[in-house]
Amino acid sequence: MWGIRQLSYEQLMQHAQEIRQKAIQKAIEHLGGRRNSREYMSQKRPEIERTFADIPELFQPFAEMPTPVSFDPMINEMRQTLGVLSSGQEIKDPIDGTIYPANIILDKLSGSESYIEDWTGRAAMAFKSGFVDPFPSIARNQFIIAAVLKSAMEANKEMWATTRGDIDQIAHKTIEALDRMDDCGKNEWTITFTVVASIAAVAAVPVTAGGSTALAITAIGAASQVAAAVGPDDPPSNPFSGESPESVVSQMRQAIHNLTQEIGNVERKISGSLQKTHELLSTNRPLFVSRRPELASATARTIRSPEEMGYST
Amino acid sequence: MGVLSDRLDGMRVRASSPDGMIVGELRNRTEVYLSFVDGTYRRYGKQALEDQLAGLARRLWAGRMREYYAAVSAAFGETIRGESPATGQRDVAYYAARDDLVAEGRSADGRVYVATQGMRNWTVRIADGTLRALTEEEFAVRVREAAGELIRDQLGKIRELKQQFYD
Repeated sequence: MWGIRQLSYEQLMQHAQEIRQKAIQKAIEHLGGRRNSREYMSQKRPEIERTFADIPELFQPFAEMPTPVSFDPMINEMRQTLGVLSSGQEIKDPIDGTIYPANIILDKLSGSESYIEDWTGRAAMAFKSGFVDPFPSIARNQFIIAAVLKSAMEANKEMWATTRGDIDQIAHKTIEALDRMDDCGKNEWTITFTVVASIAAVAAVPVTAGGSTALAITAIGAASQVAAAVGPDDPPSNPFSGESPESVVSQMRQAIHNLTQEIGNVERKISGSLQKTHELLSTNRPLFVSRRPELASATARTIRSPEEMGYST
Repeated sequence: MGVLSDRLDGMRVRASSPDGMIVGELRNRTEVYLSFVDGTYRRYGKQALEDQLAGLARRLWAGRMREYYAAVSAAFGETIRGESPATGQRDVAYYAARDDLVAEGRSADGRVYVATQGMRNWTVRIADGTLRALTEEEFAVRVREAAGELIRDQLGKIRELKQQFYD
């Protein structure tokens, strides 16, 4: 990370206070001989303190960000779901490449065909064409959707993890810039917003749609984990400079503003991908969920009709 | 405290005079410690010592700037070897004014005077009779006083220049 002293995110608010105090101290030093006048300072000091009073509150929202590990229980739950939905057809997570051993319970539905060979009638035909035949594809499509959901949660986790590093970087470099501005050289520094590169798109994960058509989903995942990434954007390295406490702190405010915008952009990419996936699911529901069997609404009177249980020889 | 501040506080830069007979060390940002090789102090004439000390000052400050950029690189997490070119009229004006900046320092007894223009051209003046009157150790203390005052003067004037051009 940064230099000999590593700022840790857990101490962010302490660093915010350190920046505020250092900025005040430097601004007073910059007054030169005037700072020795008690009368002058009785007015000037409160004015300087007001100038930098907002620093802690600028950092406060970043001290309250979600903990990256808080996403782990949900991610693990989705891993278990993927394990359940892993059929012989699709056992590899299309986004991160993880192999999930096939769940042999899923084979039982296709295997049921031999048990119902003697069942005839409309219901029997509907059961085969509506449930037995498409079951492998439906299980595969559900597996893909579960993988998309898991990767979105991992992207979210990565977004907050990298944001911690970025806000830490802003705090650290502001402290250094306040120390550097009084030396001979120009006081300039760069901030790299790594949150921009925290996520990556996995384009066109194909969903089985039957026949020749195939629907595609663009999934978003954590850049560090996706297998076939389109490639994350390069994190922009933004230049800053300032030769007075006021201008260094003003640059810090700008950097925090930029970071907030970048977080918003990343969040929009994640939510945009999920919204599109949801739309695809809503408009193509039969690809993901088997039709409700008419048997489910059967009564004692209708159950033996050809539309329902039908005949058995 | 920040990384840069800690590094500058702890910085120790050594350099020798062009003839290799005088060694200077810069510590605690502004303190210069001088030592002469094997009693050569007594062998110097006034003019020769002034020239050697001016050469030593130039080398010491060059070493200080190398260390400074190493400290800046550590503090900002990227390799910075020197100043970037001027990117606007303000930079051009500031760089020009800084090159012309004259900083000076004098020992408490007034016997040693050091001056620099833009931290590139150095002048050292030693009052007549000083080398006979002072021991090597006493002379080194006078140089420390003058050099310390010069560095403080330089940084104070830099701060004023920056306020003038960038505020």
